[in-house]
Amino acid sequence: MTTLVRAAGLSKRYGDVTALDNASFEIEQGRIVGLIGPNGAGKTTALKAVLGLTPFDGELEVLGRDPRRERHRVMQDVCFIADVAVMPKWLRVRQALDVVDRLHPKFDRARAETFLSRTTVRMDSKIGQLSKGMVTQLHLALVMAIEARLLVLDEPTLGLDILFRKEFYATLLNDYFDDNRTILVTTHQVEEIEHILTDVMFIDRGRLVLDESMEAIADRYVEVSVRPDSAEAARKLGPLSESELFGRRVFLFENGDRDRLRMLGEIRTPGVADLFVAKIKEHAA
Amino acid sequence: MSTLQALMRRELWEHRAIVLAPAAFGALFVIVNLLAALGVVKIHIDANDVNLAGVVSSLDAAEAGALIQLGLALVAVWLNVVMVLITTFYLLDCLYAERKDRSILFWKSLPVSDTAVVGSKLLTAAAVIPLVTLAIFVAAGLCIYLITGLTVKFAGSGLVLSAGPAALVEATLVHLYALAVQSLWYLPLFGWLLLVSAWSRRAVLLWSVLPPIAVIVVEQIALGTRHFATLLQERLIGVYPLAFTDDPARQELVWRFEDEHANVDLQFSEGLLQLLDPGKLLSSPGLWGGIVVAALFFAGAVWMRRYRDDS
Repeated sequence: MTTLVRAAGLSKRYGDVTALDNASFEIEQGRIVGLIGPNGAGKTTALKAVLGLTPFDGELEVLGRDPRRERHRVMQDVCFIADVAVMPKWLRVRQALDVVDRLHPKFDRARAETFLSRTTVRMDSKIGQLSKGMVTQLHLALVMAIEARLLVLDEPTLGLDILFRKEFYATLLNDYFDDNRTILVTTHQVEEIEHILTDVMFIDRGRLVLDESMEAIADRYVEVSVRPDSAEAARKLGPLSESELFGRRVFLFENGDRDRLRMLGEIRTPGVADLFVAKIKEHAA
Repeated sequence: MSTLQALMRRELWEHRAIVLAPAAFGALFVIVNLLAALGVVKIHIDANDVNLAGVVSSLDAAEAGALIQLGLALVAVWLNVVMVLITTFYLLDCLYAERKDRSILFWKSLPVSDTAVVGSKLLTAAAVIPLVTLAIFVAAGLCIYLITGLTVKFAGSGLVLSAGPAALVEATLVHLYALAVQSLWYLPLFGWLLLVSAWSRRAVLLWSVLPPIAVIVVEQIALGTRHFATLLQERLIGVYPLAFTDDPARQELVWRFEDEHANVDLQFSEGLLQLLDPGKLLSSPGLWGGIVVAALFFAGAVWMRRYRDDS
């Protein structure tokens, strides 16, 4: 297994605010990693560090290089889509293809054009005239036509309607992702991407509070929904969190005894969003 | 090389004023020239007290060329004024706008070094904009030559038509030389503007002029001297005395026309190219000192673009 990103003791402060606090993680090839956290938790800072867009303390290797000093080499193999506002508004679609074609050695223009022909984006349009959804389609077309090893997505579907959002991730999964590709994505709409993730990292106030594969999460965490009269018995087993849903108590356990929990009620693997809330609360406590 | 080319093409796409503003000015001169020509033709028909035939018949070939070059010099000077303004605003905008609209995140997602990007912007200011201006000068010059030549032909002399091409070629070479030395001389100013553009959070124009003014004021108060102001003044307008000869033997009177309505005294040399004096410029410490300062500012701008993070 090839490790694409190796971060050790990543720290970054903006004035009094700690954006990253000694964060260490690794990202392996062929994974789809979700970096999940509340606003201001340090997600974007972590991505910017990986992309060589911001100075930081600690050690970081992306594809064997230090992105602080070698951003332009790292970016040969790394693609990046931020939220939709970052493509220059004065640029025409055709010019965008021209410019990436000239500046990126791994860009396949025909592939980008094929992808764009399936959308309503017209070659002569200025990016400033396109809708947010269309700009994202354009950016996705550019990125999908680059033979990159790591794709970094920072809230890529922010401000898009549900149709574009669904299509965005479907395209990514069907037409882009394979064993040689790796995706690192942040979003606060966890539900939308949890079915495509292979790994999740939770980040809160600059610290990593969880870094697991989805299989490990399915093994380690269990959610049980019990009738109110069994709630006390469940509480005694030391749940991570407790909530109420349709008149039933829902408990989330870490390393819970599945056989005992099954006797209390229905068990299932928790959703990433619920697990996230539970872990953040635990971290805050 | 193709990376730099692509980057400079992108600058022309974004900053269309680089082409449009001088083109508009060039067109304006052609139109004025055309109106003037029509006026001359009209005077020739309506009035008898201006002896156009007398004026044109007094010309010889060299004087006809000088007449053309007088018009071209006016165009060149005004195009240069426009160009300096365009270049100033271009440089102030080029590293600031991308931060302001956050498109820097898109540009930085491409595998291009910050040195190449900032370099492409400096090259755009020092080479692309002057060459665009020169091309517009040549196009406007051709139109002016044809209009003037045909008008004078109408007044009775074919000399302007026949002397024009050589005069235009000569004027173009002189203009090219003037643009080249001006770019070299202005490199530290370009570097300063790039640095301000890469550094400033807002009000780039203000930040570009405030520090030099502050230095002048502080120097005046603290030392009572004006060295920096003099230095700056030389930097702004001092290249032409250095780049062109001041030897009176190489500047000679070519054409004088006097009558009761007009008294024209044109001081043109036998050949404009005689006036060029690159040796004097290349041996001046000001040129090389300026290039060293430009390199420092350039390095600062690259460093800023690489490490500044305000997106």
